[in-house]
Amino acid sequence: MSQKAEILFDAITGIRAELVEEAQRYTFRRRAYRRRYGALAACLVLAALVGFYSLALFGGGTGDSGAPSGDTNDAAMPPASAAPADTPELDSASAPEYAGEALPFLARVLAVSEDWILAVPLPGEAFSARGPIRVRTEEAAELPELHPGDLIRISYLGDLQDSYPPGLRATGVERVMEEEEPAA
Amino acid sequence: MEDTQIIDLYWQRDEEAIRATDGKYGPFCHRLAMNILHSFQDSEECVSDTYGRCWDTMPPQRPRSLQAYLGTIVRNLSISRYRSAHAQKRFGGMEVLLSELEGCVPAPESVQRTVEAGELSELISRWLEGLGAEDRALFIRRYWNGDAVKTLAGELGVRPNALTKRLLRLREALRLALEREGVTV
Repeated sequence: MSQKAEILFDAITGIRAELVEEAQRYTFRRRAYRRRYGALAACLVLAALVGFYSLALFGGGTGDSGAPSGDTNDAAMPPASAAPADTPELDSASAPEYAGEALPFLARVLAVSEDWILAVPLPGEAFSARGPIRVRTEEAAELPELHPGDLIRISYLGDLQDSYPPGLRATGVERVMEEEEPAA
Repeated sequence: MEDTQIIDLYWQRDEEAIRATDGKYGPFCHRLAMNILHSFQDSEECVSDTYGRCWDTMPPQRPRSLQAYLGTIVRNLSISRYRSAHAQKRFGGMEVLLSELEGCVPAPESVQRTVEAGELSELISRWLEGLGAEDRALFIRRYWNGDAVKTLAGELGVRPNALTKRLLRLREALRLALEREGVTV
């Protein structure tokens, strides 16, 4: 067996020179800052979300169906992603049928960690969730540097995890300029 | 000094070529050899032999990439040294790399044809081209350079365990790609 591994080793030695050169020049994008601050940001955002939805569920709210009154934390709960007060279930999410190719949808970033993003899909997208979703990014081909509040386009293969919050595995994540966001 | 100037020195049979090569790519060559052999003395000898091999082969060779050319020679010399001393179980670095690469060996039932080394290299190159830039660099830095998982994880800012899983998925993807091509080794 290890003889075959040695053949592979030799074959890898013979890969094209330009690929080797490119790899030597490549600078990895460090993600340490996310580990340090991502968990803290995620905790804060989750605490804010739980508080907001508790108010909506148990009548503590004002009956106003939009963003929480007096809440100025736009990064944590941006207006475009706010769930209506009459849809308090956090864990209900639906995804379109898997058609064999990546399914993209727009979402707003709530928090960023080393291996995942907490995001809220925008209303009207093919993927709909009444609350945040946890997007695993380990398999995303190119991951831009993201911050809470960023608008992103997530591609995934239709594998929706039945958990709280609902989870999926992204095959691609790209930041979207605000002008590209479709009018609500 | 530019690579083309160093290569010109080899062609002019100027011994300054070796000093210039060592100055520019010495650390790179040492690291590659150390990653495979895990022995300073053996690595020193490999790198020294590499410069000798360059001297012998240029001319007639005029590599497009001097770095890749040197790296290929270092890898070949290092694995030769590993093979000659394999019975003594001396080189842990190579053992680890080979045990990981076993995961890329296509399953026997998928065997349709045996390819030559050059064709296998080309298949792997094509597979690498289909990857994202980061995955491609990661695979090459691990399995061509032989950089340690811990080192790469440090550069990426992720935990070594997370990187190990990512490398596992890459090896699995390579195995599937080779199986799709109906290749065995």
